[in-house]
Amino acid sequence: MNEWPELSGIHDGIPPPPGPEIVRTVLARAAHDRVETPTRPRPYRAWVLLTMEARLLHPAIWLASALIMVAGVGFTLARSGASEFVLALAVPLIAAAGVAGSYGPENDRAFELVAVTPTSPRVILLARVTLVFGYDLILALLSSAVLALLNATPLGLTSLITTWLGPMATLSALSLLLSVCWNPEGATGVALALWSVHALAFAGVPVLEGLQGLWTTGSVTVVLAPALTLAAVTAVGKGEPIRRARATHRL
Amino acid sequence: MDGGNQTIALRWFGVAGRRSRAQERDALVLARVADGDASALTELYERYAGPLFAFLYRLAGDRGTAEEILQDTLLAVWRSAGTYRSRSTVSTWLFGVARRQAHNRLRGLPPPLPAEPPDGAEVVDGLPGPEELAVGGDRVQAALARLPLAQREVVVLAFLNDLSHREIADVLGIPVGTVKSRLHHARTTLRGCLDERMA
Repeated sequence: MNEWPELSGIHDGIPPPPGPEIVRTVLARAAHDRVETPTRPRPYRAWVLLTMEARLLHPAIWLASALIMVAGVGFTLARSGASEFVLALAVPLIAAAGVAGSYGPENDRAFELVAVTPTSPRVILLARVTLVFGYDLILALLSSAVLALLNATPLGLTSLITTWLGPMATLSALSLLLSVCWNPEGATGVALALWSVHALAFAGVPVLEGLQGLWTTGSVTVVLAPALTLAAVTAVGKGEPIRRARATHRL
Repeated sequence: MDGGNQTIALRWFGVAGRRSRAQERDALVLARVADGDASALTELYERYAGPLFAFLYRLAGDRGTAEEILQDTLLAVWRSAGTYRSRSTVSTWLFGVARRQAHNRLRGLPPPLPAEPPDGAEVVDGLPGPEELAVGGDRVQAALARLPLAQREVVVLAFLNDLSHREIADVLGIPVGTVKSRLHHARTTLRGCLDERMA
């Protein structure tokens, strides 16, 4: 078939192929690179991840949220008419503190162990935020429902929920971003400071109109909270966080 | 049918029968590979090491790269043997796997040159040009180096591995017409080289 003069001798000068020992090398590579294909459906794996992560979260996160919420409901029932004030102040702060403390080496006893697993740090972060935020959300919804059922609030259930839902989302997202980029204590401190300024408005102290717009359930919240959460998820696992600048001991 | 034609026909059927049995044996060996039998992978390798390595050596242009691609190929065969569906022969399937691995490694790289330039070859900018290689070294490799990867693989499969146009089309997953046009373009390019050398 070879009628091309340039290719005459194409069979010549080819070195012999490697011996059968190459197969052993290949099998060793296959064993080394093996990644088990997940056979379970995705929702099941998500559920398993959530239950595993729930075990790793500090019990104080669950306990503190529940206790504060019970205290808030008790206070509201004792002093009828303060429901919107108590829930609007307490719920966002509980959620922000919980979310800030849910991720990072300071509060995570298994941080190093989790860091070497194949699961992305972003997935871990999302799982923990889902757990903590979801738990606080359920607590707040239950509290609102109890207050509405007992007629302890002049507002309807929906109006009561809107007093805390938007601020809860925005403040939690902000504290999450600060926790990822800085540290949980700093994030909680900033959230508390911002929330104190907002609380002054309840006491009748004049506060900037622009700042007040951030703490309502409206279009600003709908845009701001997801944007801050997205920034936090993007930032996690990227580069050296500010808090870990001195993570390596100086010799 | 006279006696001569009868003999030719019997020989042809004999060759065809032997080829068919060999293909069946290959398919059985590949099925064992799919079941995780490491000795079957060795058996398959021993059967096809020569043609596969020659194909990869001519595509890559140096022994080291060809061996790396051969390893990648065996790894891909080990992992994906279960996907073989007997739509082509095992040989065609293996060349297809090898060709994909070669593309993964060689895509975007400059055309291959022999790893060791021949003694006395004129070196410009540290690397010998195709002409120098053609004069003093691996003339075939220098000629293949002139061709883009898509044409090089068609030429190598046709002239080194003696595959038919149909088989090449199966290996590369392209129409037979495309195989012919790539061969035509390759021939034009190589003739140009020859003319330059003659001039």
